[in-house]
Amino acid sequence: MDEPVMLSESNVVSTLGETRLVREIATSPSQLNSVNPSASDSGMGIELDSATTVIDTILRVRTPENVAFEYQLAGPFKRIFAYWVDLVVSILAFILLAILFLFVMNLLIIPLAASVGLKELAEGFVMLMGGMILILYFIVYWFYGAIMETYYNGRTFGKRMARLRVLTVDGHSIDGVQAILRNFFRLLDIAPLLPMGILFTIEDPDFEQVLTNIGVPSCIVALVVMAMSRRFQRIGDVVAGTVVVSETDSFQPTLLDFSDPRVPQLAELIPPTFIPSQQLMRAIASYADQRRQLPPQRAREIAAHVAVPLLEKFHIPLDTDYDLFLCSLYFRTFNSVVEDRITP
Amino acid sequence: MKVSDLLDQRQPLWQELESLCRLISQPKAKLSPEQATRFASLYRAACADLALAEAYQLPPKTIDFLHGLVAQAHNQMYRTRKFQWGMWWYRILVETPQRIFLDPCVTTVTLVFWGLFLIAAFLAYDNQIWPGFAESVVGEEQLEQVEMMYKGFGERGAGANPFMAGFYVWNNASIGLACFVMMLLIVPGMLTLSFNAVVLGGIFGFMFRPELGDAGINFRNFVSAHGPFELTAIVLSAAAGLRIGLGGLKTNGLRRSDSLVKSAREALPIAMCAVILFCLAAVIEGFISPATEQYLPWWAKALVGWICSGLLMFYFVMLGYPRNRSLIMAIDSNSEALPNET
Repeated sequence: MDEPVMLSESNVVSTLGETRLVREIATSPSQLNSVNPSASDSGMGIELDSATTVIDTILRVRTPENVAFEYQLAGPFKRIFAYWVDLVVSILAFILLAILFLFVMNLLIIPLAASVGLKELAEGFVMLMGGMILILYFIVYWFYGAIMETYYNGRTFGKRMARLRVLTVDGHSIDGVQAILRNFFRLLDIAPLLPMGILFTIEDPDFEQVLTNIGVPSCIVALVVMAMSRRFQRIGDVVAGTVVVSETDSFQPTLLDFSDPRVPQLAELIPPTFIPSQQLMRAIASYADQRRQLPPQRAREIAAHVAVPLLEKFHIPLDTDYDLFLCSLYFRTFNSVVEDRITP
Repeated sequence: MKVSDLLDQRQPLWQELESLCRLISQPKAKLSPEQATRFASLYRAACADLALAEAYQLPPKTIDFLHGLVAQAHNQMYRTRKFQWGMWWYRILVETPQRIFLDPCVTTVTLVFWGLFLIAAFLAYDNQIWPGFAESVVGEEQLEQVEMMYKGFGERGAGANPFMAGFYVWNNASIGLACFVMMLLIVPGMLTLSFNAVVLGGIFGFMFRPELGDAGINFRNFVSAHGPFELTAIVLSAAAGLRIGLGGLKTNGLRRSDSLVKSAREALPIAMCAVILFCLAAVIEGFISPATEQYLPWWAKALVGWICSGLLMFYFVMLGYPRNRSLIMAIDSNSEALPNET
């Protein structure tokens, strides 16, 4: 296995209109670890996000292993979806539990107890269970998110469905204190509550009264705060020092295979001394990945920008198919042996 | 060496890492020691591959894939720290009372709440200096309702006690936590707190007027047992919220967001302390307060109230008296103190 090689890079980060050059040079692993403050109970260091940088909506995290990888920050609408899933699941679970409870108590336990003459005791028991359910409701209402995020590594049920995860601003997993804080302050984020009567109009006056009393979270405060934040943080995230990232589906990409026999033949014509630059390789790879979705004329037009100068350089006839030429360039770059390109 | 050969060589390793990640992310999954070491070395290898991706001239899609893979493995490698219960005992019994004792926010909120409460109670009781104070602050209908409620008091069956205790946990602790959260925005939070103090004081003063007779006595019998815990809990949750709100304003040289995060971590134990007090108060309110004179005479309830006050005194003054010098310095300079984790 290869030894990890120190990675040095420089990023231009723009904060509050001023542009500064952040040079991230790691000299030794021990020093790197000291730069990465762990979000332990001891609190946050001053260099809070020296381990992360944000460019557009990409959160770049530098790991103790000395590499930097990227996360996509999650936007408000994906997160509102996750919130609604959590809300609906918990409400449904409670309604089910309450119905089941009333059903079992009223139809089974009380008649049963009354038949053996223990009605008083059974009613006391029902009240006790009712109290328990209210306490359970209290715990779920205030601590559902906190408990789920602590024990499932930054995810609730809804976040799991939306493929989201909560991290600290420096890219680590959150701890219990942060999970509790960010879920408490949701109360401010979901404000203002809209009376449900605005959303539905129902003629029945009794039912209308009930509807006006139920508040529907509009999450407008969270939306405004997130729009002002560089990391899409809501109030709870700011207070707890967390961000929400979206995890992409990972699949193993494979190199393209070309069935056309002319591709390797044409690749032979490219001089062995030619080494494509990083930029050119990237361009060729993204062209080859997308060429099937392009109409032939458009593909030819795009390929011409790269193909014509190279064909001239290699003294290959200019009437070669540009698309075919780029395919063979791809083949030569990734699939065929080129000496000394990678030093072992 | 060809890129395709390199990929052929690495891809099985990446796949293995991915499947291990999937295995760990299942709840209650536990890796064997061999798997754990294998996971660590595969993760380091993937990190190295990502670091060298440019040098290997990997195609962009593969680099994207590696970013995702390393992120996934990183998340499993450095997992959430669970609640450290041992630490929490230290926090609740040693650190929090001392913090509360010294915290100027707690002092301020206590003064505001109790000051307004007592003034309002006196004005409502006296009814001479400011005639009609209670009626104008609380509202005549509201007062009549409270009076009616306590006139026919004591008819609730004892069987409903556990249910009511559950209801009080849910209702009162939720109000307390809402108070904590609202205090982040200092001005509306303070206004709500003052308003509640005045209204509560108005009701208390009104109910103790001599002309109310039975209703007043019933009211006294009801509130005196659980009052100490509940009112203290309200003050504590508001104070914890105020600490966070001030942390956002007065940064002590930290960046604003960092200061906010730091003060939130400090304030959370105080808020949790308030939640515990709310729950205790709810138990008392559910079981002891509603008992009628024949089961539990007034002096017994008063005794409960005294014991609760004594416990609070013990917690805030005996446990809270600042004796740990490093902790005091830390609180004074507003920098975080770390007890030796042993």
